[in-house]
Amino acid sequence: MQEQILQAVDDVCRDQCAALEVALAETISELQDVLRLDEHHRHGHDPDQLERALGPFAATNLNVGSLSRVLGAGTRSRAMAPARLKRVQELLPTLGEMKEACATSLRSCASVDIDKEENEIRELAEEHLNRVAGVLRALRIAQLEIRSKYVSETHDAVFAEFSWRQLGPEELRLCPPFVLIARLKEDSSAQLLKMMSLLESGMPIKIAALRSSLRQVYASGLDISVPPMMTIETLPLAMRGVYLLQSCVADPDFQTRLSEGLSAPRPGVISVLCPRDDEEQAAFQGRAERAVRSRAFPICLYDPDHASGFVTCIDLSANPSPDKVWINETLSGRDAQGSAVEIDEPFTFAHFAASEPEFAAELTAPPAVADRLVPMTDYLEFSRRQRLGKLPFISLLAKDGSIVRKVASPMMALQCSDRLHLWRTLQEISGIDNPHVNATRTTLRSEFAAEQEAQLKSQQLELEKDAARRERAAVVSAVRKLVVSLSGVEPSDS
Amino acid sequence: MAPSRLVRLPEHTVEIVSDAGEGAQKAAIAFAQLCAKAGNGLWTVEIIPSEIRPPPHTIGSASGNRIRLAERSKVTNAGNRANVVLAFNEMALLSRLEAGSLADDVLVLIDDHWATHDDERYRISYREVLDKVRSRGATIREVPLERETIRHAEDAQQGKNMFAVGLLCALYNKDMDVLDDVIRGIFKGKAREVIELAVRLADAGYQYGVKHFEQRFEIQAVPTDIPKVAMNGNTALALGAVSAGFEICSMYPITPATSASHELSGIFEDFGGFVHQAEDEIAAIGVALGASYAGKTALTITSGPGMALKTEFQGLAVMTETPLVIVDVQRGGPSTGLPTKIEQSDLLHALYGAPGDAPKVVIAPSTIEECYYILSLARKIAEEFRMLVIVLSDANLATGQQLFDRPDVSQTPRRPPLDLSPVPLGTLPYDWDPTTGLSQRLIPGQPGGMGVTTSLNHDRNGKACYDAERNQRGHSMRSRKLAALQQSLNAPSVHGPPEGDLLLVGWGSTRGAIEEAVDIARGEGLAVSSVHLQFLSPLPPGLREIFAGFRQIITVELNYSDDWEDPLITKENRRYGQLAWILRAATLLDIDCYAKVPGRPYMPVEIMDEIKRILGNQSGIESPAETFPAIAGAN
Amino acid sequence: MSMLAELCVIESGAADPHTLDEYESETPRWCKGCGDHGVLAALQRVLRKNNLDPEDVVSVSGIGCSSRLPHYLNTYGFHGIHGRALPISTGVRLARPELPVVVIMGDGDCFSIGGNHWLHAIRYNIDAVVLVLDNEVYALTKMQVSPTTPDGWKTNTTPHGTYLQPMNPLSVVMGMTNVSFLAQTATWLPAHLDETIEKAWEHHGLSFVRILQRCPVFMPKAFGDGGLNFPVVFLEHEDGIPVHPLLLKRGATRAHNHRDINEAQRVAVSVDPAPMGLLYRNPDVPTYEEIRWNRQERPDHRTFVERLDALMDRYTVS
Repeated sequence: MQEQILQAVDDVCRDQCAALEVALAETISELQDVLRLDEHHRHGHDPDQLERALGPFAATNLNVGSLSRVLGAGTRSRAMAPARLKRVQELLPTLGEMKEACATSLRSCASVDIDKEENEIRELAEEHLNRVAGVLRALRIAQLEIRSKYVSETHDAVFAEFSWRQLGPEELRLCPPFVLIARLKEDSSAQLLKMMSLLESGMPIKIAALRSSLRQVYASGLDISVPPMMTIETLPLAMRGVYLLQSCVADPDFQTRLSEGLSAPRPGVISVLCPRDDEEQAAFQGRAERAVRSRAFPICLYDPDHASGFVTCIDLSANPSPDKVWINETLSGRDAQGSAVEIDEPFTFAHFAASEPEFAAELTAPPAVADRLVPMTDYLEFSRRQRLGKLPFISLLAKDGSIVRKVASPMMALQCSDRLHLWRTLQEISGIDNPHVNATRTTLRSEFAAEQEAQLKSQQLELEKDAARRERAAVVSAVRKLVVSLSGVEPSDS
Repeated sequence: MAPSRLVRLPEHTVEIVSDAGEGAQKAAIAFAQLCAKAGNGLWTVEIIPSEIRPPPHTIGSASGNRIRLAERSKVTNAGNRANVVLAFNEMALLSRLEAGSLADDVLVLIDDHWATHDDERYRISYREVLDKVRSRGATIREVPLERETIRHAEDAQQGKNMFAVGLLCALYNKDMDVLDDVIRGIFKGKAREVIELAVRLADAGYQYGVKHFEQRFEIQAVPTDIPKVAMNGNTALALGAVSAGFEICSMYPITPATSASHELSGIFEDFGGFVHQAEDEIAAIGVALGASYAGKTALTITSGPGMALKTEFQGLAVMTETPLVIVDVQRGGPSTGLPTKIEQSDLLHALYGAPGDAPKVVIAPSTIEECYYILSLARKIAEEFRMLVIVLSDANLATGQQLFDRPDVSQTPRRPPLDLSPVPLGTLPYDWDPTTGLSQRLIPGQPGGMGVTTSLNHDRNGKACYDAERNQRGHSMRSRKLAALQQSLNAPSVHGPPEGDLLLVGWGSTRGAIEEAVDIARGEGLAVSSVHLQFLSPLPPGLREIFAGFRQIITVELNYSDDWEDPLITKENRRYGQLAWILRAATLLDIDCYAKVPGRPYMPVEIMDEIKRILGNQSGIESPAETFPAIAGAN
Repeated sequence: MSMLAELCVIESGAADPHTLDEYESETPRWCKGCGDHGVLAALQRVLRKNNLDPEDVVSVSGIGCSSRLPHYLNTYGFHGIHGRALPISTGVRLARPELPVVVIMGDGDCFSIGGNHWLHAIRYNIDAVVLVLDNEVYALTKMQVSPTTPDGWKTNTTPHGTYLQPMNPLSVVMGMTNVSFLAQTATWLPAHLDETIEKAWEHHGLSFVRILQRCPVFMPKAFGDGGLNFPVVFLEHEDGIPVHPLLLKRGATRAHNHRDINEAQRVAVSVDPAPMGLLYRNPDVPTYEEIRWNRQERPDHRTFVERLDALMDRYTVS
């Protein structure tokens, strides 16, 4: 199940190591240039060097020995200070070794299982991160030397105590990631707590939380309400500095998001829905899409570095119809009587669970007496009193084309409620929908309507005034014409 | 038919001319390569129509090449009047006649197609031109270029030139197999039928020549192991710019400099450089100066009118002591003048054009080979001395092609990297060495070296100042750098004995013709030698000593001087050629000049005539030093 | 240089942040009340804010009062010749694309003698901050008419009043291909001036800023007595140049979408009230340096010699 993830990790690792190698190669070349420049300062004006630099045209016209004397006077003093020269010369082999390492030891980014002891994990992470930090430290020192900005008094101390903690976010982005694999169980609370503990350290590790089943187990006796346990999707609320990606193959940008997630410069959690051990790719694709559509596995991205506002950092756009709660499906089939019928059925978690083997026991045939039956979506909106004695059901299209009803167990109803509440929470914290927005919308609408009405009223008034005026003018003109035709005399204009 | 007679000659000059687009140039290239492979020395010159699309069959339409081939491996100039001309029509022939480039007894090979052409005007014109040429002493050989070509190809326009090359191959007794290889090489990449047709036509021409030419020429060659290259001066400059390690060339299109930029544009990016075409000449030098100031010495290439526009920037380069290299491919002036013709008249402008006192280095290559090497020297001097270096080439070097030893590319030095080392506290931006005027250049990025580089007069701190003493000092420091360089120059070598009756002094591309004339003259027992200057500023040492060995000194240069014969011209008002003017001032000697503006190179025979004229008149003249008594104290 | 190497340079940069006086060179010799002082101070603040090492900044100027600025700024400065600051800056950018460049010119320097270079520099879109200090006169040479001198004003070369309408440089800039940034501000609006220069510094491309400036000696009455009576409108946008509340007594604000080129062109043509702020910004126009340098890499010496050898083969006649 984890091959896909490991492949992605390997790809990212390979790219980062390649980039490091390139940077090291360039830096080595620039350092060699610094040495070459020093050589030039010491000997560039020696007659043989001068002759070579001037080229054959010079030979007949110039006395190179004399020119060498004229030019050589000042430049030997520009040779590098011995301390700096020594530092540069010692840097070169170190960088060379690191460049080798990029292709070998750094390259093999094996991932670690989260079941290991927490202390052990922390040690391994520190080791990996400090190895990468070592390379970047060497690069920083080298670049300072190249630009003649390395000042012993200041920088010796800075670089003596150098660990991954000194690295900047852009540098961290280019580090091969340290990945922990966590296979989530049905009751994942303990695992999530361990994850949080590791993430709290601030180390830029990446935890790949993998599962192929979406069944959650809750403590029994819970009323249908919001369960107290953690969900992985709301991790950003608790740990605002942790990168979160929840995605699967239903997301067209899955591979890209995976790579970006693995390179984020902060601790991160990557939650992925994986195929079962012997599941075919096509079947899994369909299952993943259903999981996303039913809000059983919402695709979320939380990138704290994306913007300064929380709302902008959360991205639900990869989910179908993120502005809706449920997505409606039209079931066309035959009802109990056998007549053709079409019903609009919101696709809830329970509908998704209907096709998952681990939930088989939770969906049963309805009783003969139908008066206690209530559609699941309504049931979820009922108050506690209204729910007493009711059985939530969902409608499904059976293989033979008939529309059947299945009753959900209390555990199933609990999970549906949990998922609904989670989805609504995600909508609100990502700014798609929340009461404040709705209130503003309503206020604006009424304001706008009022404005329109006022405008209409004033226009009406204007029209009436105008009509009255015209009427008066028409009467005057008619009377005048009458006078003329009767008397043959133009009346005066008074 | 009797077998043809083979005439052995040391050298020959042949011109191939046609209408533009008929392929005379390609024929010439093929013929030149054929001779080069045989080991002949060569000098070729393009014959360019003055318009882009001139009407065909007119004088203005003549296009082609002149090829001088010789036994000796080095041909140093375009030679005298042509001995053979192969013309595709009579107007092309007439144009060469009127250009004065054909010898009176030239052998004319001409397409006889026009003799029997349907259009009567062509028939008449053909007869008239041939009569004219014949009356001067030429030998006419009418050849069936068109007629024979149609037998093999559908379109005679696209095949005549290959038949023509075959003819020449026969005329000069060259190896047809070698010509076969050459043609295949030239047409490489084209369709097989095209190549085969070309070879067939050339062979047909060769067979025709072998059969019909009563007299053929043998310019035997001395094959050599040393690999040779053939290119024109502008290509040599472009390759030289690459080998000198330039990264940026900034230019604006101007004839005849542009082809150097074209070459460079095509190759530079493979070597990490690029050519920037600026919005005008001033911007071109501005970009080059900005790049140089930032630490990467840059190059700009132009011609006369461009030099004029760049003058203010030249002054800026000198005042700020920013290294810069300008290449001026000189052409006929003044103003727009003769854009495609040959002249050497930018010398005084290069030396003194910028307002105020702006001392700069001016050097001039004298051969195409030197065009390749000179930019390394120019860049090195510019950077070490913080000076502007002007390289004066001309349209002769630019368009002529010469064979020379293939440069040893493995010897290309590695240029030092950018110096961003910190500047020690207290270093001044113009830390002039009081003796030499040299100072260390600071470039942006060096810690501790911040400061303004200003076009105003400044002191050692780089601060603008206006007082008399510091103005004098600034001038003195910039000027003495020339003296410092001059101290390391060698005196020029004399071509010929160090003493004699006449010394010719030249500069730039006239070297080959001058030395050839001197050699011929000495061969006839005349005591004449020559000296060729490559550094014009500073002038090399030892000139007065050299000049003292001769009764008379004249400069030979392609720029204007007044004619002594003219009744209005007196000793007081005569205007001299540009180098003569400089040398008179520098040496206080009555140096005369042979300076005319024909728009083409001097022929050795012209210079020879002048030598004879001068020596003929010489009997009354004392040493030139006596006409201007030396100023007391001068060396 | 690869991105990673560049990052290492930036990250290791701030050992000690620079102080303002580290960017000061000598005492400026401008007249009292000259707006150039404000521009200098604003520039120094921007350099300090971005913690740039003085040796890594290049300032280039032409000739004129404002062009003295490089003398007073402690960076590498080039005080060149009249009208030619832009070609020199292009050369610096092409040779050393890692060094930021600020160009300072006057109105005559840029719009008159330097006009050709100005037009083409916009099209090249070199990455540089270009400040034109427009006082609508040639001040250093003692009061001659400039292309932006207002209608009817008397100068030493137009003693009976100017003959032509002044040019509008904003509309010229908006009309040139590849324009990527245009802003206008004034020295009598110091908070706005600071923000504008900051914005110009951030932009990747040619940031053209026209700074209106009143010469206290030769044009004391210009711009409605130095801005007191000069109608302006402040262009406002979320990403634009922030308008400090105090500025509102000088003029009203107007919402303006600086990403829309048509809207920018419309605003650029309007002169009364003068539009202050960010007229246009397009961050996606490639710079000339990128276009040229992205095409090739520098070969190492061995490859260089091999290629030169192969090139020479083309001309070899065996």
